[in-house]
Amino acid sequence: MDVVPLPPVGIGMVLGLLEMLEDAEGREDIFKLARGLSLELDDIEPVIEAAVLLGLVKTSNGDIILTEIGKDLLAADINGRKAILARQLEGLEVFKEIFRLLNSTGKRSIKREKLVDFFEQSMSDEDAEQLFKTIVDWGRFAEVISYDPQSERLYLEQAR
Amino acid sequence: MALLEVEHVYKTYKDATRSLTVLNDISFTINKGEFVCLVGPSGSGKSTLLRMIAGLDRPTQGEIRYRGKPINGVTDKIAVVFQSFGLFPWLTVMENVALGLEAKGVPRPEREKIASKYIDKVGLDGFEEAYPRELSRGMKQRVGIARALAMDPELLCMDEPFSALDAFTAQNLREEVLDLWLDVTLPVKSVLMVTHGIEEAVFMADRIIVLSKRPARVLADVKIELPRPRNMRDQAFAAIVDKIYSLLF
Repeated sequence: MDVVPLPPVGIGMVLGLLEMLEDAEGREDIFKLARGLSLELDDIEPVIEAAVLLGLVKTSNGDIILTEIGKDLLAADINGRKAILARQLEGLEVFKEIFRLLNSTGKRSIKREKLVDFFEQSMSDEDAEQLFKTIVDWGRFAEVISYDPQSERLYLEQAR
Repeated sequence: MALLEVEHVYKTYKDATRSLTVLNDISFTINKGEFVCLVGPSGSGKSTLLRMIAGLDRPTQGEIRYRGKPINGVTDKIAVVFQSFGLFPWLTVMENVALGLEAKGVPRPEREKIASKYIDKVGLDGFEEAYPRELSRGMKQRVGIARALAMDPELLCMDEPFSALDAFTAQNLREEVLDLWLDVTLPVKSVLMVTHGIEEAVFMADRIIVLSKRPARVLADVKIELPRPRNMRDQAFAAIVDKIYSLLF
């Protein structure tokens, strides 16, 4: 199946967005959020998109709203947050594809170059490189994957 | 006894023809258990003052004491987190965090155990072998924080720690730094944070020391008695931010 790029934002930005929503009692006008932070659409849109993809917020009529999963994540400590994020990542198509590829090698690891080549079948070279970086950022934080920069190999952390 | 005493401190820079006084008779104390923010306009000498407290610079006049003893250089009771992260690009996360311990002569297995503990505390479990170039800015600052905590400091000095971050990541890290400070298993007793963000200071601090523009003097020492967790949208919060602004303008 075709893999699509993830929003190119760090997981820390998604967590920060949730913290801000918590202060707004779980719901806010997106324009007010952007205005309050002096951000343009290009700055705020990918962060919101990432949070929606992870099931942590939903949007409706220009509002952004915390989901129950988002609330659970906010209430959790750092390791609890990682566990929730891990569960959410496992539900994303791109991560399912990666786990399938990693499991199929028998070694439960894959070279960066091979994975980027795989992504390039569905998107531009630049998008493929960015997708790899985003996957490593999110996946490493949630401890579902690890990455060795010396060997440039991505590893599955646990049985998935 | 106060943890830190800054007593009639001046800082003047001189060359052959000119002299520039940046800090003009600064006095304050920090007690055990306090989170203190130092705010003031750009150029008011906040970072200079922080560096002197950390033992990285000296006052021209006056004295800074830690637990009653004059500060004459760096001490392992005071650690610093820098705005620009200050990581060594050729070292991994683990190596950066453990570096201070290595300098203290702590054997490798023990220093890696200590470093792992703090890497975990800042949420970077899984990144031990990563290099700084692979990390987002927020993650780099988490490494900076872990490195400072690994030295077991009593006073954590933070110099505009969130200024180089985007708004979302900064908010995330503010909350996590407060969680770390409230973690009773950590040795950190007090925090001194320099910031030019008034809202940030009111969000984080028990006390805010307000410096004037250069040559800086202490305009006010304001206790922040808002309950935690604080909400930047509360009216009481906004009232205090307004009060601090009115001291400066």
